[in-house]
Amino acid sequence: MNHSADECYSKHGFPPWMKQRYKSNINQIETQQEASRNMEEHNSQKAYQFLTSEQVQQLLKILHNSEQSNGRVNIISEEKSTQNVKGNIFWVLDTGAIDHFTCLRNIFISFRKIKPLKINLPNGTFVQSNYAGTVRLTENLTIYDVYYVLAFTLNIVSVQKLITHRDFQCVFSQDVYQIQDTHTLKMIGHARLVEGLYRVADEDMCSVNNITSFRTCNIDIWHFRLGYPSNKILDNICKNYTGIKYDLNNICEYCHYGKQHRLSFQTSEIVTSDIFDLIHVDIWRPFNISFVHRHRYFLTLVDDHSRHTWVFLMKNKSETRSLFNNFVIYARTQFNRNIKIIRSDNGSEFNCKEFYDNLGIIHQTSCVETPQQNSVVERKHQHILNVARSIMFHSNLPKPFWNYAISHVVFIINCISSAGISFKIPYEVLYKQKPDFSAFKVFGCLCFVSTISNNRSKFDTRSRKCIFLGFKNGVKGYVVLDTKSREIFISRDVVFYEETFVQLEDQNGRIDFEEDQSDLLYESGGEHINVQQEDTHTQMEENTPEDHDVRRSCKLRKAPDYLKDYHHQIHNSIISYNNTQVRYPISSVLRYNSLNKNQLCLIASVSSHVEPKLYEKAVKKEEWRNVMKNEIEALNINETWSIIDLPPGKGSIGCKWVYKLKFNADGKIECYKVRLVAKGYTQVEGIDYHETFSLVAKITTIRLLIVVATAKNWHLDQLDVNNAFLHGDLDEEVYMDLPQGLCTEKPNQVCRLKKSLYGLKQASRQ
Amino acid sequence: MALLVYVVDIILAGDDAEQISKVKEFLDRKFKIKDLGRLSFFLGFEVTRSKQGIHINQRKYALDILVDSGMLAAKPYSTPITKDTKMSLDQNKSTHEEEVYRRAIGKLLYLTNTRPDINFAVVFKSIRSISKYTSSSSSQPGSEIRKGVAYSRLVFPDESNMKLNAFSDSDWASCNFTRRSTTRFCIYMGAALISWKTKKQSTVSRSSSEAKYCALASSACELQWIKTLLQEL
Repeated sequence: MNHSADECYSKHGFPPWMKQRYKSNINQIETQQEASRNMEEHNSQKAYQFLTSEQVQQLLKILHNSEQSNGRVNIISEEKSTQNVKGNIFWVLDTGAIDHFTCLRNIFISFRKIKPLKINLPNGTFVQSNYAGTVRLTENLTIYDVYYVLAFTLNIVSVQKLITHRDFQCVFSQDVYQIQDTHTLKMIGHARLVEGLYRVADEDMCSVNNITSFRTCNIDIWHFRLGYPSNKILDNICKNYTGIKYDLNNICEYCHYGKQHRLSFQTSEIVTSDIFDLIHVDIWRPFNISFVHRHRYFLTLVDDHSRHTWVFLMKNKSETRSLFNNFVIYARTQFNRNIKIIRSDNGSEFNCKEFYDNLGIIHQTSCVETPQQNSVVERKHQHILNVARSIMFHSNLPKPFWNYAISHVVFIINCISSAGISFKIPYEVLYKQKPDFSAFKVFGCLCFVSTISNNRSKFDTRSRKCIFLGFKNGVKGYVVLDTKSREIFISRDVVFYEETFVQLEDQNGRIDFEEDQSDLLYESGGEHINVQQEDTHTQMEENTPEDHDVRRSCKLRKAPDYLKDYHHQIHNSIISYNNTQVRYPISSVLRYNSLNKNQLCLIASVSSHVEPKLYEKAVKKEEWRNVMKNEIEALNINETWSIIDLPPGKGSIGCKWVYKLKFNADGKIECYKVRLVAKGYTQVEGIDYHETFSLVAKITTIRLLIVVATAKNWHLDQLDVNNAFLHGDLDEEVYMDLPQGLCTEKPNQVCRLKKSLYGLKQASRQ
Repeated sequence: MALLVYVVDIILAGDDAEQISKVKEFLDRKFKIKDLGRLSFFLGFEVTRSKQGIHINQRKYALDILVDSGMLAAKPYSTPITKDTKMSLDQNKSTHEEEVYRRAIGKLLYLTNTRPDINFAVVFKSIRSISKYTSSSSSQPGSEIRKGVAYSRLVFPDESNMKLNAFSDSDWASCNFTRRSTTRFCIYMGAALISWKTKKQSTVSRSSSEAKYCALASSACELQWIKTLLQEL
């Protein structure tokens, strides 16, 4: 804060331009920085001044010029304060200093080596600075060309440099020094008077971190280093760590690969104006539960306007169509409304275009794997299941009674207000009257049903212990389950104990349900079940879950008659043949799917034409009969045998027909080949044959011949002798049984072989 | 002009095309003969002719061996036999294993017709299998097949030089149990290898030179036979 005496305005009077004053309504105390030397002295004057930046700069120019003569730097810091701040990062505002200085290297955002700079100190000594860099003082205030001087004990901000290089203006007051943006007058930083020095306020100071190597870093690197945080998080981090930078607009591919999720669906605001305008439909099935009435599927219909829900229990999905039809009629009769739109998922059971077209209904489907588009009904499912689970667990009923629970839950939630339609009651919206809660009872509670008088004698019990299972639509009564007889029936003479629940005691076997009604669940398909039939018995074995296997049909599966002219064996394996009797079907490992049509034809042909093993089978087919006839004729022409009576004391060997099919490349049969072979293995050595070896060429000879042919450049041709075996004359006396299919006049005749035949031991040597 | 008969298969070789067709006609009159044209597939050898000469290989046969033994997808060995394979007595070998092993050896023996390089290994193991010896390390027939079957081809270069060269050697007392020696020879005609043998000698030699004489005698015998054959051609 020192300056030479010749420039102290308080001594020599203010220059004329200083008289110009701005009346600012900003309640700030402005003083001219050059007048700061004796601030304390001038406090009493309360000279509120506001200077434009040009004025300040002009002033500074003058000041600067005047300082030139005095040397480069004229800092004199009070020794006592420097002692205190040594090692600290206080920044002291100095009007006299020409440059910024720091004694701490780790506060640089970036720094560089510079040509050694000599700095004159007021006491006539010099210090040297080798580094210059950038320091971020406050969030909005960054100073450049800060010289690093190790010898200093405090950091100095040159007011003059601050103002000349940036669009800042500075305001001194009694104990506060403010730095403002010239244009916006926003306060960028301020310094407080502490121990006679204007220190940059601590609260404005950026926390100094030791990260000094940012300048070389890729701007994305922090995004990667910190584990791909989102921009929101990064933004937060950047606020606390000045060195960390990020690019908001940068596209990080890996973020998308790793973290992208489905876009959230906006809740549909559109609510239809009238009931039955839009019906949401879905089918669902619980797994591994066999229900009391063998229901397997639930068809849920939700009216968009009233959110009234109907649940139909189905045994097969194919019932959907008729239930739809019934529902359309129901809406028309009861409410005089026509259903306009049906919205469902892509289930094939909803795909009945003709039906919709006939009634003029628009069918809307959700996208594949996007159940969110069918949210109304899916949400309803969740609701139904949540409540149903609660009442089931509370009532301790076995799982097969789930369908009763669900029906009851639907009944309940139709009668309570729904959030989807601003807490109106679906029942009320639909029927225009309030639901009647008087009949509501706790599901699964204990109740006693009085027995009907004409069925009891004087000494029978007057009531039956039962469990409440809900209501049946259209009947004023309660559906109850007899705990002993397992009978489900309807009665109106019921006394409830709603806080008591009974455990069904019989768990170790089959529990047969007798029903005096076809189906006590309202609005079901109405298919009549004969209760006494074996297959209506439901097994209830929660304790043995492995018995929940799907019952498999014992019926033999046969191909339909219309396929008998086709080769369908392969196709059976192509279509993953769901033959449940085979536990590990071959179709799971062997399939012909990938074959093209020609190959398929070949395979079909090969697998459909079977080479017969036995004469009895072959003789049934005309082709085989013909070729066998031809073969026998050929053998006769060749004089292979003569037919004689078997001489006494001689044995005969057997013979056999061998059949072979040859295929063309396209799978058509090229030829039926048949050969008569003698059963040479029954021949006895010494009687039927003597020698079996035959002369062949040595392999070396073959090689030698080929080499010679190469060397001499000979032709090499190959020949094959047809029926070579049949040309050899037979020396031994060999008798053979008559081949099958050859008839003679007399019985017990045999063939005496004159020529060799395939299969004979000595055949190869003839 | 030469006619080679192997049961029903016939090779006709000659420089005179007219003569060849005459022979064919004659044979066709006598028997019924199918002319298969140029020699291409004979006794499991695939024969191809090119400018360099004639190539024969047993590709199909080798593949068939692999298919029969179920080793089609097996990893091939690069060497037919390891250096220090020792034979040892194994009494526990079951008869079934024995049978499979012998069958494999038999098949491989036929493969040596175009694979002289595996000849030693196969013969070495065949000696063992016949004399009921097995090495403790690899008694699996599969592994032997894997080692053996990697088909290559035998080339008979097109060369007019028909000089016979024979090389002979013996391995003295190579069999650990009988102390008999092994004869080896190979005979070249020009640059083409036509005959080779690796065989355990039938007698015990008392010195390596005695074994070598035995080997020399067998190779001389073979040479003599080839010479006679060539003279006949």
